[in-house]
Amino acid sequence: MIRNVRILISGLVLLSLSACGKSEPAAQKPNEAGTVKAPAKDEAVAPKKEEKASSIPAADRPTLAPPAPVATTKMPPGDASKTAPPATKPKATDSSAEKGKAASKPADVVLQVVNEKEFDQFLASHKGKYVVIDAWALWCIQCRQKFPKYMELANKKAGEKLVFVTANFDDTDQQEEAQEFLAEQESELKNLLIDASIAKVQEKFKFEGLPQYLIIGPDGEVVFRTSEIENVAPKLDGFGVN
Amino acid sequence: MHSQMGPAKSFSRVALWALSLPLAFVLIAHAAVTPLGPGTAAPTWKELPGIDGAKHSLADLDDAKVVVVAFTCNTCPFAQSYEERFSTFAKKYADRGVEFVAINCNLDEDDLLPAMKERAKAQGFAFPYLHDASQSVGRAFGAKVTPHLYVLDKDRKIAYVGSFDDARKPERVTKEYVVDAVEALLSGKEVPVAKTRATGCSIRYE
Repeated sequence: MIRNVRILISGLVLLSLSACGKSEPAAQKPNEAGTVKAPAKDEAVAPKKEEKASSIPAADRPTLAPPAPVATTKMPPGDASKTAPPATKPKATDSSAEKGKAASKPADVVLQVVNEKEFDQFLASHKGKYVVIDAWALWCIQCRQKFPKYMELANKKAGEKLVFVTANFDDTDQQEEAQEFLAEQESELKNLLIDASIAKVQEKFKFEGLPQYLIIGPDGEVVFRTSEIENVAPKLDGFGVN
Repeated sequence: MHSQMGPAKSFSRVALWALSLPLAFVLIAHAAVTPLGPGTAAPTWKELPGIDGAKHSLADLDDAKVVVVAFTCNTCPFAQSYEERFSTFAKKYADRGVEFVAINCNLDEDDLLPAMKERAKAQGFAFPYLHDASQSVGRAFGAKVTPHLYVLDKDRKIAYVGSFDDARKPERVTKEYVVDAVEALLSGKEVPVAKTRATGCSIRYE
């Protein structure tokens, strides 16, 4: 009888092991995971290329340098000289309750535009840490619905070895709208708008469609990708970063 | 070692089998959907209800030289930006033996047949629009997002899988993957790009 139990237990362990393997193939096959290439050999040429990419006037194009937190969430960084606030967000002035809320919660929500190379450099600068990316877009309804859960996770888990980054894939002409959404979500994280073809970025990180939550490991490689935010926390626990 | 323990073995076998049933179910339910690749025989579909009130099967299109299947839906803004392109494509290639079929696998109310009929009418869809209520066709193809495109050759093998083209905004398109694949097939050439990663909203499999 004891033998029976022993066999049963070992069978169970085997089964649960195989279950893990099958349900999350991405995590089990690190070799197949997308490689976030450290731009080691590119570093020397990076500044030059960056300049080249800046065909848009500098004022409209926030750089990778630490962004100055803007006082109002309505203005894209570097765009502060531009005219009146957009008509879509007139709330702040008409209710004192909201004013109070705004005052107690300083708006440090910045959405920074980066090109593909700058995105690479940003990730390379976080080597040694885990980075959890929420890849989203305004057109992606599920992304917007799931965003609060990502924020919840970020607020709970972000730390020295664990960085949370939002990566927006709308066009740059929707930067303001995207920033407003981030402000509503109080996403005082590193918020990036990736000014690059999503097709190319998908190819590099090996995912299809949004929403997509990526965990980048300390060596800069994607170690996990999922379209379900609920899958992220258990994975982080599994990596021992919690 | 196991072979020496007859009763123990059969007991554990039964136990394992019983235990693996719910596990297998969980695995199937959560298995990641992976798009079928180029060269694979395309899954078929039978009697899917369309917005025209008729039932549609892949076999109905046996005369077509090429079949383009677009997994799409009503509710994804990314997919919506392709509707006009799909209609233009369907009209352009209709008399060249190319059939364009759209299949919706989502199950929210806004993605059911009545809503599909409305959307198709309002947007002037120039192609059949079918509902995959069991989601089995979408799963069989491994469609992940809307829109996810599959180009099937005359033997109904997958000749191309991925995005329709490389930009959501028509004015930014530089590569028309589906058009290029179809043109290649029609002229008996090799498809230049057989696979890309589709972009859009994740299909909500239940």
